[in-house]
Amino acid sequence: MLEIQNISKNYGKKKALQSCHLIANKHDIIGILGQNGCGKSTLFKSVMGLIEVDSGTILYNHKQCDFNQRKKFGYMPEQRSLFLDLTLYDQLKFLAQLKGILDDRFDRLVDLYIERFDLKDKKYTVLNKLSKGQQQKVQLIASLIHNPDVLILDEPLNGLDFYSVQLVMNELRIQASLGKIILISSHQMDFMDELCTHLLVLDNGHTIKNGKLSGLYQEYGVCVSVNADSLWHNISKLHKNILEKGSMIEFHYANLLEAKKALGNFCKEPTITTLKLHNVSIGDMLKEGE
Amino acid sequence: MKTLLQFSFKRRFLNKMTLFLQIIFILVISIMFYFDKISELLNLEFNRPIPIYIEPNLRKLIVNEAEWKNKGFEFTTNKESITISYSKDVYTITLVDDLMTQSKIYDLLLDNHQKRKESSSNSSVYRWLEDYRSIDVDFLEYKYEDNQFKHQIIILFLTSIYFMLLNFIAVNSNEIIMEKTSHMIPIILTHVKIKTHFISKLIIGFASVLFQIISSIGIVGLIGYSRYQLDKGEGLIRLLVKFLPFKLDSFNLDDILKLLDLSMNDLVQVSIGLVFILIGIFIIQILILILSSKVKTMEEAASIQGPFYLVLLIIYYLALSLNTTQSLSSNLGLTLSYIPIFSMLIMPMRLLTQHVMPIEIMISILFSFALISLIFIIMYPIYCEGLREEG
Repeated sequence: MLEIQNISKNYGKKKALQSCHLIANKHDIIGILGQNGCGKSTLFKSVMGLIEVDSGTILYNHKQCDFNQRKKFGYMPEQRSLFLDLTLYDQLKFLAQLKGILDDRFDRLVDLYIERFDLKDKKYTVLNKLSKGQQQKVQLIASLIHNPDVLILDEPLNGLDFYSVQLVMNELRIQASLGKIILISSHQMDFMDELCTHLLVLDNGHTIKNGKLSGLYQEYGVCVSVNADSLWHNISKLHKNILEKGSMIEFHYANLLEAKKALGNFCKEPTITTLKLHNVSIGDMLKEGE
Repeated sequence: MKTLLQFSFKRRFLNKMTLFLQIIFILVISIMFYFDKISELLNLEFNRPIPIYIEPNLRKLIVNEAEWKNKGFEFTTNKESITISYSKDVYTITLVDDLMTQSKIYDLLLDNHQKRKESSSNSSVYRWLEDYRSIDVDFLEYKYEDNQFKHQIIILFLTSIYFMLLNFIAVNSNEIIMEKTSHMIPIILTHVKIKTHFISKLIIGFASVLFQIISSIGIVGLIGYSRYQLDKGEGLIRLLVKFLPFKLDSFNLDDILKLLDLSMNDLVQVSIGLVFILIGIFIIQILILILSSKVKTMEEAASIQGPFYLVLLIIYYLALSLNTTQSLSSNLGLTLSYIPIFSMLIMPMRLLTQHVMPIEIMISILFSFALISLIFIIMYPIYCEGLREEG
């Protein structure tokens, strides 16, 4: 269990983090969200011990988090952090050796991950010859190679195409299923919706939302989406919470019961060809938070 | 255009490292221009007159005593200092071990000779003019002629190593800058402790210096041996004698080695000299490594090595200017041989020119280690902070 207890960090007068609190258990994928400069990276760096917090404590398995504890953590920073003159294999080997992974085990692991991340033919390619997305995947492999118990991933989906995002998300689901704790930040809300089990939303260093995603979904109600070219106006004249989302129209309801009633009415309208009952998206939660 | 110029100017000149370089430059120039005052203040006796013994028969003939004083000489009755004797119109000078002093003495003797001539009458103008123009000065009777050659060769060897190693002081710094600019520092610091990172950089820096020395000596030895096998280096020595300030009568490596007559004591002195150079380089490596951790931009990285090269160049010239028995025995020479970084060249030179007590060597090394400890205590937190800033 990873416990972040009321940590605060100031950079001069700027308050980067204020009393941030978070508890993460095995199998949790916690999305850390917020605008640029809200304190996400500061939180990650604090957990990784790269910056010293001004107050508060970080515990791992009920013990003060120190360097030895953090050896079980894997970290992927937001910036491109690679020796671009090395080959993929050499870069990963360097980091694996720093973690004390023996060559045989490393070779097995590197083959496994480059296959999973579709980089098999790039094993001996110099990193500066790889695309930005491929380099991003190498960084992710670097954070996974020592089989960490906790994964701290700062914007891992940046620069990835849809196919690669799916690969990464699948990998993260596999890792979570193995009992890992994953802390991930991203601005790609749709993917965070699909991936996260918990959410921590920061705003100027302050925690504005924190909890299980299922709990937050209940708090924010339920949505029904229908195709926008249907005659939905006839049915939902009384609706106030309506959002246009491209080819779909989204109706917000306070609870599941109301949504189910509305669903019955939508089913009667023949022009409605697409009908979807779903939770409020994380992006919409954040908008409401504003 | 204006924006581009302003941007570049700001980044190139208003960064910490360039400012640091400017401060060092101002400091150095100030020391140069106020050196006499500083020397007086610190009682360094840099201006202490060089004692010179002039044999009584010549002493009577000296008419320009004031000139001698102005040029930094003091007449003494002590025969152990520089001595000048005069017989059959030939001046014989002993114990002068540097060219600059030789030249000064020659000028003063010529000046004295000419003043005397001016006040004397001579029947033949032609003869008078011939006499007036020159004097015979014999500098050949060095009491320690063999030592002089050996001394020069060893100094050449040590200063070559000194300059060779200067290349390596920046290796660590470049590596840190590379790690910082590639943003690898945060990743590395999640794998190893900052202290491990710091110590590993010092070890690898020092190991590369040692490797460089050993490999260079090996290469020089091997190629030198191949030349020895070919023709004992005869043509080469003849060529070198033309360019180097050595007076040699023999022209092959066998004779040179015999002339050098390296004893165990010489090898010990060279080894101790090397130890001082290595300690000095080590201190500079630590300093440059710590400062590199604060580098944030490529412009700063470009200026970080400047102050160090400047200081090292000054140490080199200082060591050359002090490379006489008299200067090295002065307060300045003695003091600098104890001061870390300066001691890396001054102490080896003292070892070669005079008897240095083992306790002096120990104290000098102790001062260097004290400085290293101080740097660790005071500056290591700066290194941590510098790396964490990147993290």
